[in-house]
Amino acid sequence: MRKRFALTGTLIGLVMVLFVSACGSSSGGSGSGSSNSVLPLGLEGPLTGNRADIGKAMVQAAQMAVDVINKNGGVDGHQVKLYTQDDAGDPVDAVPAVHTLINVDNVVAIVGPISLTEAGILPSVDAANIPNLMWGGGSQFDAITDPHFFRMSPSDTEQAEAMVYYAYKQGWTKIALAFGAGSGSQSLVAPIQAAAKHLGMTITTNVALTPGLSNYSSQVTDVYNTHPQAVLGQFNNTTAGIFFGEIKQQGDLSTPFIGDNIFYTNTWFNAVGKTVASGPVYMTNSSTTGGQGAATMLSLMKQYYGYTTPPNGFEYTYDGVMAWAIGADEAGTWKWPAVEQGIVKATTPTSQTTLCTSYPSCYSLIKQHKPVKFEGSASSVTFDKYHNVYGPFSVLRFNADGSTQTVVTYTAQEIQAAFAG
Amino acid sequence: MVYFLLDLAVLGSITAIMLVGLNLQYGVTGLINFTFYTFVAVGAYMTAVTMMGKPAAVYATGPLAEQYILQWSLPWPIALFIGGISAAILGLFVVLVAVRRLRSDYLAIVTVAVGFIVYNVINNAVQLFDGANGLFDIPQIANLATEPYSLYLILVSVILLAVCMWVSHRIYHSPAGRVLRVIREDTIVARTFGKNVQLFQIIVFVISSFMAGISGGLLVFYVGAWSPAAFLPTESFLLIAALIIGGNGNHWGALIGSFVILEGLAELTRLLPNSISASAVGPIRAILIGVGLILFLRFRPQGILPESLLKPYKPRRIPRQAAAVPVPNANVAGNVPNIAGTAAVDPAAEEAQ
Amino acid sequence: MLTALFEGIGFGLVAAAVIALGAVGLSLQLSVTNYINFAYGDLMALGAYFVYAINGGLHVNFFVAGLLGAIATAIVFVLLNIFVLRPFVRSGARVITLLVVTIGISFIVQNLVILIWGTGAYQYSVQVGNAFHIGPFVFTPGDLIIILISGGLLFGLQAFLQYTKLGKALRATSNNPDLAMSSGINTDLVVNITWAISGFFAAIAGVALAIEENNLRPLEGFNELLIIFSAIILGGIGRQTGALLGALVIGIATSIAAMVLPPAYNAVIAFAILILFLLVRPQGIFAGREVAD
Repeated sequence: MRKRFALTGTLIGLVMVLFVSACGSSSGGSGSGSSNSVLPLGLEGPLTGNRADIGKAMVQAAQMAVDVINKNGGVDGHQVKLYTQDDAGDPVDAVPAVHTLINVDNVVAIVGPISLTEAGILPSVDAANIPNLMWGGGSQFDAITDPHFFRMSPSDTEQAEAMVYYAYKQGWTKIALAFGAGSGSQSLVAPIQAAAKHLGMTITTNVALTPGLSNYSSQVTDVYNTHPQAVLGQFNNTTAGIFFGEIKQQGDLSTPFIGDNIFYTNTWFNAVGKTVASGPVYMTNSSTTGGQGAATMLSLMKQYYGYTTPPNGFEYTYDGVMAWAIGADEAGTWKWPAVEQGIVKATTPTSQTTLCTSYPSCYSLIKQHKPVKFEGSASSVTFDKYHNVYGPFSVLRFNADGSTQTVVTYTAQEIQAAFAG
Repeated sequence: MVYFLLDLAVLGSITAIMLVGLNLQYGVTGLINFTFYTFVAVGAYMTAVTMMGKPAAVYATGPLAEQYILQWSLPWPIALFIGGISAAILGLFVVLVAVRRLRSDYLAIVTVAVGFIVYNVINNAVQLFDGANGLFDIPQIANLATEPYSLYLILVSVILLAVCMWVSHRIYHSPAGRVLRVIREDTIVARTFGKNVQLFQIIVFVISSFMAGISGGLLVFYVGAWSPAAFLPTESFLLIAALIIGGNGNHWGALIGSFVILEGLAELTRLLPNSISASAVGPIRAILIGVGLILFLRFRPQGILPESLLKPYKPRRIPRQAAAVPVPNANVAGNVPNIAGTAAVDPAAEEAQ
Repeated sequence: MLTALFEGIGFGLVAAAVIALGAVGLSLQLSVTNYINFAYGDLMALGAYFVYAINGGLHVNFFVAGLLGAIATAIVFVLLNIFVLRPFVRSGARVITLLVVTIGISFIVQNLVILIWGTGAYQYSVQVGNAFHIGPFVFTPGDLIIILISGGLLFGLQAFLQYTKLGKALRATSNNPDLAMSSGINTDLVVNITWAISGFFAAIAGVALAIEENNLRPLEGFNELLIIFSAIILGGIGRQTGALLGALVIGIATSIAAMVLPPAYNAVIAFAILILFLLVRPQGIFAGREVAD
């Protein structure tokens, strides 16, 4: 009997201790914004749950970016402190997460989350009047007019057009579609169908792959029995591993496969193995002009973490932090609405701007009052009027050792022209 | 800090409604349901589609439009009620299918299978509830700023929670409640007393599913969005763990389970210093809950607030007859104790606890 | 059309081999202990990760690593029984309580795997080879090896149960534990051996699954678990041959159904069949023991 009370008491005591220590550890001053010298930056992402690998990449990217910023003068003279909150990829958890960032940590900007949870946090971001630099393909954000919203990754519509355009240019006009049944993948199907129709291509079949199945052999047969010239698809790494394994077993690896930026990660490479990855598998990825922005980030990433290819979500998060920091430098403040104008100004190319790709160079140019155009690692970070990035697209292929080669690059104008009218 | 407490209060009250419902099913009647959260999800979806109206213009562009059925714009109390009813209908279906002659592990498997089927159908039949993208931009039920809105929701949730607890209390302390507890312990005994076991199980399951449904609706009012990502199997497991630790069979235990275990621990870990590796926090928390559950089941299965605290059995004193000669009573039949175990019998004598 | 049908049957055979390994292991344990181990799927995954760690990390030959991993998993199962499950059984816990405990174990194991190995997907270094035709079927060498190993293990288990003293003691205990105890059989030992065998099969099933899927990830076991349940219930609780046949039916049926129906509804159909079966003939194709609740 006494033992039971002791156990109960201990458990309740444990809860109390956690509570007290939590109250003690939550920093953040009164009122919104920073205390004297430190700017709190918020990062929200799926650190647990199904997309936890994305969350981890986001945290690593943000930590690296903040470290680079702090070592090179901080933002407008202030050091940056990163606060991360987990939303588990679950809209229900996203709300307390964003509330904690805004009200407890008093962040001045939020990087992330992904499209899955973005809609839930927008109202809070609006109410707090801070910029929100997220990433994710969700086409529901294509025409969003909320000025707080910035998207660092190309919309699925653009991705779809790039994929179809590449197939078209290669003369593969009979294509099959194999997309995961999850939202991130299915949202590509309709734009692809529209794009293919526009160019007069034929879609032989459209197969949806339910994530979480252990066997896709029948789906693979469905796709390849229609003898397409190329297959377009996007699905998560797990499905990719199984799906491509089935293709390999059925001997269809010679048919070209066109994926998108989701495939351009080392986790995907590991999931499907080097035989598949270095076969005729192509990935469209938003790119940078000349690749300088990417090169800067890649060398930093190699230095900090030793990766050769960025894990999924890494580059967009890095771009998000950088865009915010440089925008704040440009505006001379982190406060709203000036910071929004700063972000736009520092990323819009004009005839007077100088291209800069690394934080130290951008910041020093700004301090010399020279107009800059920051170019990111995953895209040129040029925003359209809806604060969505748009820009050139490259088609990449993996080599057997995990590095990538660029097959061709299309400018944004070229792609837009192909689908205009 | 205040906002953290506000979030805690809203989510805690809503989760408490879920746990009161789960307690009715599992704690009082012994019906094992490993997919309770699916009913919550059904309630959430149905409330949303009867309240959202047409999708917002900015999300309705072309072939990528947010699609969902109904698209009605009913006032939120009616939408909430419809959410509850929908979950109750699913509950009715499940319990009719599963409750006959099946051993308890079969019932568990069936509930898991149903959860899986519902999840898959919603994910794939995009025209139902917008598939994996889910529903978003669900309007608030009152045009208030963030903090006053949270307070408003707390008010609504607490009122509904009080109603559910009152229902649970009334059921528990009624003769029907006694029957339910007998069913929990041994269905054969209940049948021996002539009780229609299946009818009781069906009614309880439907009522508790209704509670699940309205809690789902309330969640949707709070979050403004809902998608399959929000109702994975782990959620149901967490509910069971919270109930068992809080006090299985006791609807006040449900409160403890909700505020302390689920919302308290989960949200508290948000305040942990950032130095702890972020991606380890989630699994560690989950492992702690799992270990806590097993420890509680082993050493304190009645939970923090045991059922005995509800004092269901109040001994009533029988007034002693003073006369030696019994007064002839015309209504002799009425004096014979009714073996069928209704309220006419002295509970103290009936239950040799 | 007919070729597609045969190919479907071929895929189904491989799937059935994997399901059978899992189903038989679980069925054996269920028949002896009389409650379902909901953690079985996640423990399958754990076994597969053990093999990955031994094979990839310590660079041991794959088949040797498989054996070692399976033994390690068997030990884990026995430890779980001794330290977690048996105390509950001894204190007279109800079946429902044990189910919840096993779900708790499932939760813990899943998250342990995530904590140690992360949520990413891994691959074994071994290659399955290229597909070739055997008659109307299409197999890879890996598929055939899986079928062979599966068949061999199942056959060996049957022989063990039929012809060895320990095997007979096991069957006796599953039939009537009290009688077995009073006949002098050390039921505790028998139960532990059952868990060990269950664990061994679980690990092999987990590895086979990871090879068939070309993918090793934390949730692979849990997803497979429902399919294994279907196989066991179809075949009848308490009968290993039933579990085997159930696995065959489920494996081939889902494979063929996937050709006709939108593949997304594949698993849904499987579980709908399960529910139907539970309603109409819960004792399975072969009537096993119907145990009182």
